[in-house]
Amino acid sequence: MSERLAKVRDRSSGRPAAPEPPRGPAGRLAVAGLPGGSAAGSALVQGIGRVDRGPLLAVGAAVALYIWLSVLEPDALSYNGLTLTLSSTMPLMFVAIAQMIFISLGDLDLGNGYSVALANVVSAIIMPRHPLLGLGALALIVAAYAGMGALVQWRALPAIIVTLGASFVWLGLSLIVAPSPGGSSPAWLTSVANWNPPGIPLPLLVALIVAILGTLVAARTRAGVMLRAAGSNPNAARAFGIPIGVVRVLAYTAAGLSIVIGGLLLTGLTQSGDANASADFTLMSVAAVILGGGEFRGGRTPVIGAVCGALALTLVSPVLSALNVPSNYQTGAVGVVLVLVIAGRRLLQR
Amino acid sequence: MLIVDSVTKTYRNTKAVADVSLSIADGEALGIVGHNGAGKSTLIKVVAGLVTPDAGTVVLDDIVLPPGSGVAAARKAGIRLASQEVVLCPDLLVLENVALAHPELFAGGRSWRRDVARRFEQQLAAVFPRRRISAYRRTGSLSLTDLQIVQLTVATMPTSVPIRTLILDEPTSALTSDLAAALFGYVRELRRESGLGAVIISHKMRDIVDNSERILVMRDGRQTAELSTADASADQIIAAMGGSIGADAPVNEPVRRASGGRGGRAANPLLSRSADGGLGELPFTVYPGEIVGLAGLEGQGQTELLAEVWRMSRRVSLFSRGRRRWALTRRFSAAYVSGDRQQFGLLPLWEVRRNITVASLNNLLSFGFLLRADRERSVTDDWVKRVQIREGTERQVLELSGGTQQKVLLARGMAAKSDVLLLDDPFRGVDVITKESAYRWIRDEADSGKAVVWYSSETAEFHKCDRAYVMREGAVRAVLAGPEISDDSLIRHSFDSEVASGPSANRRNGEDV
Repeated sequence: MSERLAKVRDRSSGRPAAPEPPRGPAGRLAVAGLPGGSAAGSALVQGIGRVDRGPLLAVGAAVALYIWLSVLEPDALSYNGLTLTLSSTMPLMFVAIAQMIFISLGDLDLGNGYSVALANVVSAIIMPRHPLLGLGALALIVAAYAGMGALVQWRALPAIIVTLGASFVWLGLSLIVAPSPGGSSPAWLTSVANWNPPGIPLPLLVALIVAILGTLVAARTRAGVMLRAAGSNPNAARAFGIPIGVVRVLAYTAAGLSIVIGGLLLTGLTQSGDANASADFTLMSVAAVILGGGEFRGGRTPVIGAVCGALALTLVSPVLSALNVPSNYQTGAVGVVLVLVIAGRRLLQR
Repeated sequence: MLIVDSVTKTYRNTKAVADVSLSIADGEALGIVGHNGAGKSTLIKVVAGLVTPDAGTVVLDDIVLPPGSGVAAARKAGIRLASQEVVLCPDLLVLENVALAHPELFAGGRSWRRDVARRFEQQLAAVFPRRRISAYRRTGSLSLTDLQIVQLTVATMPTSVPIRTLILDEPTSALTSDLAAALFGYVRELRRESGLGAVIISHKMRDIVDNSERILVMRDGRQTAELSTADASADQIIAAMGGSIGADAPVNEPVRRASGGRGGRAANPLLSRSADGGLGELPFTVYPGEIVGLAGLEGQGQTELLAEVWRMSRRVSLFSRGRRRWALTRRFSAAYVSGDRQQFGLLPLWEVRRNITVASLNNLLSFGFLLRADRERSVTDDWVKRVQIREGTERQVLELSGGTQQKVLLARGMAAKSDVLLLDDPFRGVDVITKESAYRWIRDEADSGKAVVWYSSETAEFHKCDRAYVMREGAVRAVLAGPEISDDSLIRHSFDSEVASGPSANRRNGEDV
């Protein structure tokens, strides 16, 4: 150190300490996508601790709707009542999980209403007669999802466009397999979908298993952490050395698998295949995830929220029926309820 | 021992790093200093494997890392980087970010979360003893200071892969002085104990001078000096960073209008912002008819100040926050030209003509709502001639070269007939010939009575200004007028350092410069 420099240092040591650097936009750190936590906000979060508030709304909505329903229809609380009211939720639950995987990457699947229908008609028309052929066709659906993941990743196409385009392919294929609704469910599938486990109604058991397993995978496994990292901040993920392309292809594959399970359950419950019956699954699954605490920009995997979101959405119709709302009004009413709930979510997050 | 051998990296036609070599002995710390765009960050990203260089190799303790070997290979060799930007995932828990940064920690088995959390909190206590951050916090809920602390804790954390080289890029930008002291104390300890080499990049001269043995000075992608910290003087460092060397030093405007625009300073200022009462902050004032530069390192609040002026020009601003610091003599209008033309400028599907007039459609209406095509045509014909767009008015704007696209945006800003022209680093990556004529047009605009507020990341462009405000940490720290604007003075005031901006008497002692 030269004398000159040393002298300057001595002079400066008498000065007051440097003020706390600014935290605002003037700071040197570029923080893309990170909401700057205010002091008060951080304290609040610390107080709440580890609890993720994301799925609270969906859980609350599902419970509230069910209580309302059982006030209107006391029978709904019985084992049979629960099974009857909720069994139609099971396919939607799996489709919602698939949608959650897409949304956690910041993508969106606008075709899963028709891909679940394809799995439905394949298992209702082909499977009863040619089990192996049917299984192969279902595997192809999963493979097609993997292919879409590769396309989105390496051709940099928007997932919305790819999946929307694919939805026409799904519908076309479904209509070739089943020009009109029909077919039947393989015996094993019927007995799985209508199994009455002792003590707990099947839909609740499935919801519980999916929620627990899904949460464990998302939160505790390396794959789950990588999935959320890739959706949360791709640049950081790349800097951590995460192969984002591989993550996306595997995630799409898992989503495809979940959709096929949903389609199989649909067949087991309805005993037939219908190319058009599940078209509204697309938007219902998006709604379930967003209600459950998902974010369109990616990074969140609210498994419990998505499952409860699916439960809550299925419950709106029975409640409206119990209130004697004509069925023609119900579709619109579901939409209004949904918008209100998601608007309410913004308030909850503040 | 880290050896970086003749690294070169070119982006499009700018050389970000040109043939830079360096070596760091075990236990040694190297400081790297340089002005905006000197290539410091690119150089260390090459070392960390984040950027693939065009040429050059990195060798660490006999492990050769050829170009393109990637982040994972560099990490395995023992290179750790705490980068200038926050590279963490906001939706993940702190401990999950830690585990992603150090994949070997996933091997912790079923209880890896608890294990990682414990290791993180231990390391945090070792580096920043008085700071508590729970590893179970969601990363996005942390303050900027805490984010930087997490990043530094992660970078210095011992794992089964030993650290051989620790690179800190602007590590103290959000830290208070005692946190910075804790960090550097820890790094010094680490260097002594495990013999790792360190690289420190900082715009705070004190960080470098106090914590490194050698200083590498970079300018425009080249290394201009390598000094031993013990013998280096502040003047030597600044001279090596700045423009006083070299023959291509820009010349100031021949006729300086240091005393304000053509109308002189007798005119009232158009707008002014008072100092916030912060330490060493100066007020900001703009007079009609002058070109005001916003200088300083990148991200020190220049774009925010431009945005504030823009908001002041809208009626809404009368009720907005921060309004009280501003004094406006009258309502004024503003036009904005950004250098980020893809994001903030071009209307990519439109032709040149409408791209120029879109900001001034109000002047081309009859009956207040009908667009007059004839007037639009004559106005754009004039502008195209004036800014020399040879392709004419009807070409799709995306068919033009980048420099010509920027001319279109400039024409749009000038055609808007505003009182203030706001320029947000508008000539980034624009060729010299276009720039030279653009400087002339801007001067013409000022001569016609407009006020021009100009942020630039190129020091040379401030020589075209009447006055330059040097900003640091969100506030104006120095005002230079006319002949005072020099590369030397701009750089001196840009760097937050008692060393660099010490009393001038002390500066003058540097007769060896």
